[in-house]
Amino acid sequence: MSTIENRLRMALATRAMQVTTEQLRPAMPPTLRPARRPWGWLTLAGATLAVVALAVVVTLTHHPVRPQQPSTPVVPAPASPSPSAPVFETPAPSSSPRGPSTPSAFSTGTATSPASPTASTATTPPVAREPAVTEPAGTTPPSPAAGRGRTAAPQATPDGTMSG
Amino acid sequence: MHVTGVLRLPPWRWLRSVVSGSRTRSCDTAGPVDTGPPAINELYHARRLSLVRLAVLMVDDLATAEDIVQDVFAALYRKHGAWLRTVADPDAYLTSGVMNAARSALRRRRTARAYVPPPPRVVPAAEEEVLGREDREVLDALARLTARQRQVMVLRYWSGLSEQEIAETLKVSRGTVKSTANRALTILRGLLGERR
Repeated sequence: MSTIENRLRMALATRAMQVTTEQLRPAMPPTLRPARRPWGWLTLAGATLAVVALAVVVTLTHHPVRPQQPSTPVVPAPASPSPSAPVFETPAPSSSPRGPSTPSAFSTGTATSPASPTASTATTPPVAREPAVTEPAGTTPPSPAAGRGRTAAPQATPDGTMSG
Repeated sequence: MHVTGVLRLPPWRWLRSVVSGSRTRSCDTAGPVDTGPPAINELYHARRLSLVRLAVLMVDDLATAEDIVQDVFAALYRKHGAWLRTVADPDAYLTSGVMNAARSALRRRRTARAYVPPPPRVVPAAEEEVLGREDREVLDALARLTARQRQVMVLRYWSGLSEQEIAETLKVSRGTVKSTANRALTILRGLLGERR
C-alpha cells in the first residue's frame, strides 16, 4: 500500500463519515410514492384521437359529401360537337319559332321563316337560324353574338299574320 | 374484485388513477402488504445512508447524492416491484445504479460548466474542521479525474471492492479497471506531488 493509496483511503473515509442520518431528508420509501406512468396521458390522448377519428369515419360513411348539383338540367351532349355548341348547353325553351307571343314590329312580310321546326335543336348554331329580316333604317342589325341564346321571336307580317 | 373496486371509485378518481398508474401499483402490492413491509422498503432503510455516502464521494454534493439514491430506488421499484423477487443481487444492482447515475450527473455538470463558469466553492466550516488540509487536497485532486477514474478510485478505496467486483459493477472488463486505476493513481501522484 503506497502513500498515495493511504491518503486516498483516509480522505474518502473522512468525507463519507461526514454524512450522517440527521443530515438526510426524511426517509421516503419507494412504495409510498405513487408509481406514475409517464405514458398515461399519452394513452388517454391516443384513445381520444382514436374515438374522434372513428366518429369522423362513421360520419363520412353514412353521409358522404355529394358534389353540388347544377340548378339547370343538363342537355345531352350533341352527337357532333361544334365550336359554338357550348353556348347551347342550356337552351331556352322559347327558342322555338312557334311562339307567337312576341311579334316583332320591324319584321316585314317577306321575312322567311326564322327556323324550321327541325332547326330548333340545340345542335344548330343560332347564326344559321337567324332570320333574314329587313331592319328599318337606323337600327342596328342584330349581331350573331346578340342573337345567341336569345329568343327567336316569330316575325309578324304587316297584315297581322305571323310568319313561321 | 376489480370491477367492484372500479365502481367504488368516482369516475374522476378512477380516470385519474388510470392515468397515474396507481391502480396497477395497488394491484402489484396487494396481498403481501399484510405479511410485512415490502423487501424494497427494508432495503431502503438499511442501505440508504451508505449509498448516499457513496454518491457523495462521486458528486461531492449531498443534495444531488440524495436525489441519485432516491431515483435509483424508484427505478428498482418500478422495474422489479416491491418484493424484488426477480433481482438476484439487489445490493449490486443498487451500487451499479448509483454509480451510473453519479457518472451521468458528473457529465451533466461538466457540460453545464462548459457554458457557465463554476461558482467559487464554499466549504462549510464544519467540513473544513473535520477534513483538514491534506484530505481537502486529496479530494480536490480526485475531483479533477474523469468520471470513470473517479468511479474506480471510490469503489476500490472506499467500498473496498476487488478489481473483478468493480468490473462487474461498472460493466467493463477487469483489464479496463486495472488500467484505469493505474492511470488515475498516476494522475493523483502528479497532482498531489505538485502541491507538496
